[in-house]
Amino acid sequence: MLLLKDGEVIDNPWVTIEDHLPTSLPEYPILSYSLLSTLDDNDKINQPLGVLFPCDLDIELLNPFLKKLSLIALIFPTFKDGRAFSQARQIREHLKFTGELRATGQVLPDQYQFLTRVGFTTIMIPEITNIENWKENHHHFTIGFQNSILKEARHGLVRKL
Amino acid sequence: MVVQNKQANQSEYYVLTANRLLDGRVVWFTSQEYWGIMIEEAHLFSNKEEAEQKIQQIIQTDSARFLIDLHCTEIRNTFLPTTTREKIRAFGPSNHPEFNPRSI
Amino acid sequence: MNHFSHISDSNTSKAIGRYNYNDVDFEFLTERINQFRSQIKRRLNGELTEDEFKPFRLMNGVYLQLNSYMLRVAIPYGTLSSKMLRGLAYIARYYDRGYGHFTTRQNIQFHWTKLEEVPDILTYLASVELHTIQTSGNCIRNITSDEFAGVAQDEILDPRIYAEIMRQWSTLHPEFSFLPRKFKIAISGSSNDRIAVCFYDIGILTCLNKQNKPVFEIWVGGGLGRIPIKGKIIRNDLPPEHLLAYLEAIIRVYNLHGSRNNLYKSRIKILIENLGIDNYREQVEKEFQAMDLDQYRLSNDIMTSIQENFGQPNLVDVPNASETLKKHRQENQAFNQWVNHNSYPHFHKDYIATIISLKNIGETPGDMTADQMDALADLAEEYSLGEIRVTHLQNLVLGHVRKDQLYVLWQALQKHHLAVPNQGLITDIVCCPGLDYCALANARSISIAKKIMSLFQDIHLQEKIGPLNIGVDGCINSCAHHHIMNIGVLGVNKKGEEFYQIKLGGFSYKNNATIGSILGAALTMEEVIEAIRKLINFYLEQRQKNEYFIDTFNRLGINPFKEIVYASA
Ligand code: HEM
Ligand code: SF4
Repeated sequence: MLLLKDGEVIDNPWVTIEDHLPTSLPEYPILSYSLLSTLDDNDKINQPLGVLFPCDLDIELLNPFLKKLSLIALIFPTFKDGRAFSQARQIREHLKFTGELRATGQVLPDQYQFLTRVGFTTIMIPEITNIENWKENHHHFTIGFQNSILKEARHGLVRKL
Repeated sequence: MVVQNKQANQSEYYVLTANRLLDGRVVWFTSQEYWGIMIEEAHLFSNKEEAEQKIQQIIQTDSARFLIDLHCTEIRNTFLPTTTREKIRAFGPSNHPEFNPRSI
Repeated sequence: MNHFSHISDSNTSKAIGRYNYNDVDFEFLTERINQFRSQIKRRLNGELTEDEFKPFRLMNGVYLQLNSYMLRVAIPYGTLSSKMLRGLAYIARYYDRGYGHFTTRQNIQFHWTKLEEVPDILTYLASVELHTIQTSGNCIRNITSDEFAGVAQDEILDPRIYAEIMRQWSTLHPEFSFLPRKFKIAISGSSNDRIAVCFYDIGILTCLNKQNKPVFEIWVGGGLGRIPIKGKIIRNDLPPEHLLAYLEAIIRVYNLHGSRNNLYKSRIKILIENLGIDNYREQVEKEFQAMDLDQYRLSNDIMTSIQENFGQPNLVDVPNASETLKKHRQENQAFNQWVNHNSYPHFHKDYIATIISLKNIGETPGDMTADQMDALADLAEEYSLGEIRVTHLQNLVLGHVRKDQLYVLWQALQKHHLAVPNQGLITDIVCCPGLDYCALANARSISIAKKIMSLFQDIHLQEKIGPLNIGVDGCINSCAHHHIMNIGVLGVNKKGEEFYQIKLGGFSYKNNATIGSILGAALTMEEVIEAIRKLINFYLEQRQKNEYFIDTFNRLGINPFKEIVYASA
């Protein structure tokens, strides 16, 4: 998998841990939400922490962990399942989370601006992919008509992206 | 054609059909392995298994990329599909007889 | 280039009744078309599979039907200018087969387009300010409105301004482009329901609150299809300035919780049915309260920026207009008949609205030829300030006709077979494309509609029968509203053969909104026509003074009707 930010491939220091907790955590661990929720005293953790949060749970559940989290990864089971678009938005607007918000699962380049406008900052994409497509789609539209996390300049309903 | 040798109760055949990706037109798989416009051009498979096997073969080839909704359907020996749906695919909408593939 | 220097040229007069595009809007459409062009390219070179491509082609209005690709063009809030209608005629003539089909959702469908030509069609459509964006797919669909907007005497505010705001807001909405299922919104600026408000995902009427201020009455969770459900009121006092915030709250709850794994349970109506409207409302209110409402507020500035792009009709007082119309009606019986059935009062005393029926005996309901489109575009320009509306019952409306000119207009309409005097009568049948076109159909619907129309073609008989609506659908999806028509005909499939079910007693509008009841076992095409003849005869025998079909049906109940159709069989 490749990690994409602002249309460029970047290094991914994070390691996802889904099954059980190792005795010592890697430097940049992303814990599945079920593991995260078993950490009885997350105050003790003094290192960057990420969570992989499922698309069928209420983002309010992240509230107790928020201060510790540097990264939240959301899941698109298929590109047609748009739940994570709403979760991302709630995480930015209601939880006021400012760290890295990562899209995982199946997403298509054509969805790139939707992702950034609801608050995603990074995307995991398959190795075999046409990066040019992602680059092109990252800034394909210069005009939008809705509020967005990016707070673009507006005139009437129109935003300059 | 083998058709006449069949028993009356076996006079059903299967044909392969699809829509062309580029223009959406209905096409039929022929014995010469091209896709024809007219149902009469269609290759007759005597049973469903054979027809479906052929579909699996076609899916592996490059030509499958230019087809959508590839499927097999049952017809009678007069090249008349058994369902109204496939009749309309073969002969065009009934409110516009002039759109029958024969006339365009 | 500065996107915001778009105050339009004051020399070019604006089309009335609708938002006129500026540079920004044109540029946006160009970007959109380029994107689709490249998606088609990626489909053709194998980068996108059909499964991946399909949602994108659907969001550009391209369906694969039985015989060809169909292209669905949105007519936002049902308003067309003459220029747009000529644009549609051009597409019909040069990219299709000379006609188009108007739907019940203020769209027009071209049934014979080619995928490879779609980008060119879209480019042409854009030049006349039309597009196909979100006319299909699991997203917010074309926003529909009242065909008598800006005409009706009972209107509280102009719904088209809000419909345009919703059109823009819903266009490529980053959060709501991959919903569990399609999402349909309709709005009227009046509190009298002319839009079938209880049968949309969201339906909006306008009322006055105790302070005499306009507020929106918001209905949610209505719909037809396999599981027809009447919507419920989620809020009856929404200040218009919060419209977008409230819609986002409703749709966000749906996007998060609507079913994703069962196609038949994925509409908002099912979610609301399961949760209960009170629970749903609570979740929406919670979301709404948490939102930064200022970000969403429809301020005066925003309202003005939209409104100033709408052309305003210049209505003038015409001395003796009413008297002239009265005289024409006295002099010409056929004209009088047409006015009786096909007109609607205008708030201005010297004007009248007229319904152009697309239900010609012998023709496909809702179809219009390219020549008719061009002719009507000209007539609209001459007699109705260049504006044409599309109704939710597959007819058209000229909204602002001077009463003294109605007679000349009628004479001209007749030449193009556009003056059929049957609006609201039994031959004004709503009909979906059915199995002649639609890949989802069980049975043909156009043939049924045509047969019923020819059975009752005598206008005196139609008048005797009185107001009555029929909807004919090729499958349970109910695109022609058969569930909520006085008489509904539904195509079913029995081993590949066509059969039809009859539903009776449906009603589309708020106060008496009813989903019809099934009359009995499915019939063949011939039997169904015979059954309808019997039903109508029975009603004519049984009716009491001043009763319409629906009244007689409601008084007698379904059983006597059932007996009439099935007893002898
Ligand atoms: C020919 C291609 C068409 C296709 C594939 C199609 C597909 C569908 C489907 C699947 C539904 C059911 C949605 C559900 O229950 O979740 C539906 C509903 C509907 N369609 Fe169509 N339709 C087509 C044409 C039309 C036409 C021609 C009209 C207007 C005459 C129309 C207007 C509607 C309306 C009003 C509904 C019911 C409202 C609702 O519950 O969504 N559609 N359509
Ligand atoms: S009702 Fe069924 S057959 Fe008719 S257009 Fe809709 S989906 Fe097709």
